[in-house]
Amino acid sequence: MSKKLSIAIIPIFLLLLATASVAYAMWSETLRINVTAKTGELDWEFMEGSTLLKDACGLQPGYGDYGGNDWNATYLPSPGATQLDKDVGCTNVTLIDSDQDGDYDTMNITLHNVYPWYYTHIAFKVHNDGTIPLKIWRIIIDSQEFYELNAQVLDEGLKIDGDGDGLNDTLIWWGDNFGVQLEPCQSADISLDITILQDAPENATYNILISFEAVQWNEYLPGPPP
Amino acid sequence: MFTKTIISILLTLMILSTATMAYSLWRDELKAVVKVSTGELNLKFICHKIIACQHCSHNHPEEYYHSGEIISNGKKFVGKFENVYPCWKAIVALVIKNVGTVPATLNNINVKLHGDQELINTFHYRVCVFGPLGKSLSETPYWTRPSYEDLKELISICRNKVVLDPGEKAIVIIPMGIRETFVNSSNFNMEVTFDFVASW
Repeated sequence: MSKKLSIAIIPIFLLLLATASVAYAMWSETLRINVTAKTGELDWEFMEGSTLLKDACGLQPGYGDYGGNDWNATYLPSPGATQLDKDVGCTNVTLIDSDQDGDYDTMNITLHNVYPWYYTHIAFKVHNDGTIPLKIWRIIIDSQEFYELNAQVLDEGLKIDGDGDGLNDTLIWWGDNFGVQLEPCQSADISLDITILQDAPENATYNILISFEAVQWNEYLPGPPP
Repeated sequence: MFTKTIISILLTLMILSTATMAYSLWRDELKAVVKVSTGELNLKFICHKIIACQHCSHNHPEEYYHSGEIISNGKKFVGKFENVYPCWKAIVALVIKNVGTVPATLNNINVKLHGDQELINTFHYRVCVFGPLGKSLSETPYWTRPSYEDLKELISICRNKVVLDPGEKAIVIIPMGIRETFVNSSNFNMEVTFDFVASW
């Protein structure tokens, strides 16, 4: 009985195999879609040659924007300054490509030999050297984030304790162009006013870090991240 | 219980996913590093002279003695005068230098006397400040040869306030004397200090 059953199964198996072979023997053709995504670059820089400042180091003593005499924040808390009759301190600005990617990402601002009510103004351009539009999102000064121009309570600027002695020694006002969209190759102005306050220590050196951040234009939302 | 755990895991994953999306936007940062280097406001006495026994009309005691010293890190001059006598005259000359890095206004010279009250009552002095002077004090005879002969001329150029830029100097001349009404010889000490403010 068992032998008869085996003999019967073998032809059925062969028949099935033959059917399958017919199925695999069909002609076929495949269409392919190759998706290549080439991403853009979000990149901006301090624009070389665009920096303007008051009381630049190296100017000969004298009046006017090309004279080296110092400026005094005479009208604080209102804006504005008057030029003094002496050249005592000075301001120096250098641009640095800190990550060696071919653009200037860091601005070193040095105020030499300054004193209370010394005032300087630094204006510069930022430039979209990437390939996608960006928006100027925020400024971070001494770890404090701001998403707009000085306004209301910050009318005269942000008072900072740069040397960490518990007393505010520096006043920074910033301006312009938050939320502005920069297309590739476009640029915008940003400026800083820096005033040394009465509680600045004598004969001291301290640093203040300011960061400007830009984001891709389509993800920009005014204010802090949700 | 099992359902709650599953829901918790799902919620966590959803929140994580949202957070990841929020931080996944492209951004770029520019940095400005502000380095502030402040100056120093500082004036000091840097040298002194005492010229005594000028135009003495009386014989002075042999034990007359004077000395001077700048102390308190240049902020005070102390003069010691022993056995001064009627008609005694002297000139104390001091040089004040701006040793800081910012301009300063020298706006007052303070003179204090300690000693015999009778002597102090007959003591007379005047303070004359002039400057600013450059690096070389030899430009002025008021420092190299201070004398009573020059007083009238000197007083005509005295100033109440002198603005000193860093490195500049002022000369303080203090002519002084004892009137004839004092009949003894006695000692006194003199302290000279100054007030200054920032000049901007």
